[in-house]
Amino acid sequence: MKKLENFQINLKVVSYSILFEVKLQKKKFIIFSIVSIIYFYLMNIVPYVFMPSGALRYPQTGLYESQLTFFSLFLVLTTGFFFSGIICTEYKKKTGLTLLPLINKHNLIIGKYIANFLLVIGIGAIQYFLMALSSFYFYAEPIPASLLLSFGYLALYILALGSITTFLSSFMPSTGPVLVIIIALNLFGFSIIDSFVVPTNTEILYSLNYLYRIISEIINPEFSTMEGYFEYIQNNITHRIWRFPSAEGALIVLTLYAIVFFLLGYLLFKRRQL
Amino acid sequence: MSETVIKLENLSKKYGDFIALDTVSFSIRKGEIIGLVGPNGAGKTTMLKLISRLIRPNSGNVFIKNIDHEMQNVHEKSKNLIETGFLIDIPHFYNTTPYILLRHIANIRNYPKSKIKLRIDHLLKAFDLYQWKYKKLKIFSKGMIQKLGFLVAIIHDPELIILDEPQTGLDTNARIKIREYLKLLQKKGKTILLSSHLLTEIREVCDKIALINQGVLIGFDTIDNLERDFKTKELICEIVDPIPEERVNNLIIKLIRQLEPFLEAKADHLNFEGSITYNSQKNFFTIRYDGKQTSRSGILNILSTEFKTDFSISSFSEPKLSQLESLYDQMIKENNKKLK
Repeated sequence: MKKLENFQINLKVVSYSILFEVKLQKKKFIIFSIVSIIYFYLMNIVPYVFMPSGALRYPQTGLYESQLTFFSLFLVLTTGFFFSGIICTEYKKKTGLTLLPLINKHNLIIGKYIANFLLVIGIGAIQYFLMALSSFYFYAEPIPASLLLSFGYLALYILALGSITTFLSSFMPSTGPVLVIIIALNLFGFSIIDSFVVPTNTEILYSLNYLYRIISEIINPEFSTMEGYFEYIQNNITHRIWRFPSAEGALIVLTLYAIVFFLLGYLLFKRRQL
Repeated sequence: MSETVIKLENLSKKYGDFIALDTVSFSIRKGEIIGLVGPNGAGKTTMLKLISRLIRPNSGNVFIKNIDHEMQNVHEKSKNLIETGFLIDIPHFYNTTPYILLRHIANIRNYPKSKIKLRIDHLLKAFDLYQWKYKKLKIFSKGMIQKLGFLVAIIHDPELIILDEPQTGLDTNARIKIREYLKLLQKKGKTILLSSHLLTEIREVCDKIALINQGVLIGFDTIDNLERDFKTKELICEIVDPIPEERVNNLIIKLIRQLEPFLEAKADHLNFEGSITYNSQKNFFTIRYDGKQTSRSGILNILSTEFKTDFSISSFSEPKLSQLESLYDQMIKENNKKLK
């Protein structure tokens, strides 16, 4: 009975932390939402206005594919901006002096993590909504149901990226270095590792960039029958190039990233002193 | 006797080789206000951070009463402790409004939802912040932030209140308000541990002081008891007419001779030099005596009978503040000598 009561209290504290964090990040959310709308307008509407015949890719999934490919960098930036301060600002700005004696660290980090996730996924949802809307307008075709699956993977990807950022935030002094690392990791980090792994024909499942490809590929109606790689022979050696991960592979690795890095971040946060 | 609310047991904290706190032990009972005093860097904030679990001790324990009236080690288990409010260091807040911040603190500490709004309004009005209720904190002055820090510590009506220099940067009016509010909280049975450099405030509101120097607790008692232990009682004897300069030395020698049984002796127990001094500008003698009640009346009796031809007394009193200051000064100096 006492355990249930404690659970209810914890749940309440987490939900208040979510609300509070959402209020604190409200301005950031509005700015990023506006930027994402402008970004969508520039990437999709402007080309159509200037080149009505050539701007559209067929079939409909082409629009999603191109839009989501460009959206990846914006998503990394957004997730970085929202999650980078999740722990370190409590120390850097000393706001933790007020809150940390009053709240259990696990409740605080869960609340802040969920709140930031909801905000980033909200920005993602705006992008998907605009994609679906413009697609319906341009193609006059039903929206594919697989768009929802894609959105599910987007959520999982945000969780994974958010967890890595939270982990970095748990021991870094301020948001700046966290942001730099998370952007560098996505822009160059995984590519550098790939250059060593790709020649071995091993699937680069560790790479978030590679895992991200599932988000756009899964929308394709042919996805279940598509091969995730292609091979070519050069100097009698077969080379395999991985195009996108399997749905199961992406699901498992993204979930592992999300859980492992979140737990590591929490453990470091728990040990950190103010 | 009221129950213990907080107990420190051999609490130590090191930062590298530097010992910030060295085996400090004391306990505070329900309803007491304890003043934590000491010079800068003495270890006061470290102690309060250890109590608030912001840092972990190298050794020793902090026990706080839990809701089952048992003492619970806060660094082992933090659930079910009595409600505690904190103001640690200079408060730093998120850029939100006082209303949102206070409501959030009240919410996470499970303060009755129906009473939160009333409570916030009441406190904001009491501390002249009501008109700032929905204003962003980034435009607040240092003093306003400090007041809000105090409100954050008490918004959820905690049983135990830990305050680290709550009056820093406050104007006189706000300082008086906080002092009065602390007294009110004590009447309601709240227990308060208050760190401050303002000895006037400590003297006004605290039942006991915990004097800390270089991480060591060098005194924990009521101010009267500490003064008695350190024999730092002073009496101020104001006189009507100024004494001519050429007579002052002889008069002081005469006074020392007559009052010798009651005076505070120096280390050799024979030298009373400096026990009586004369302030020629303000016309008063300062008499450092042994602190006993009987000595006080003895001194007054001798002054009014044996010295009636030398001067007329206009007032005879104990300077409360200077005594505390001199006690503080003396204790710190003696401790520093010992440590050397």
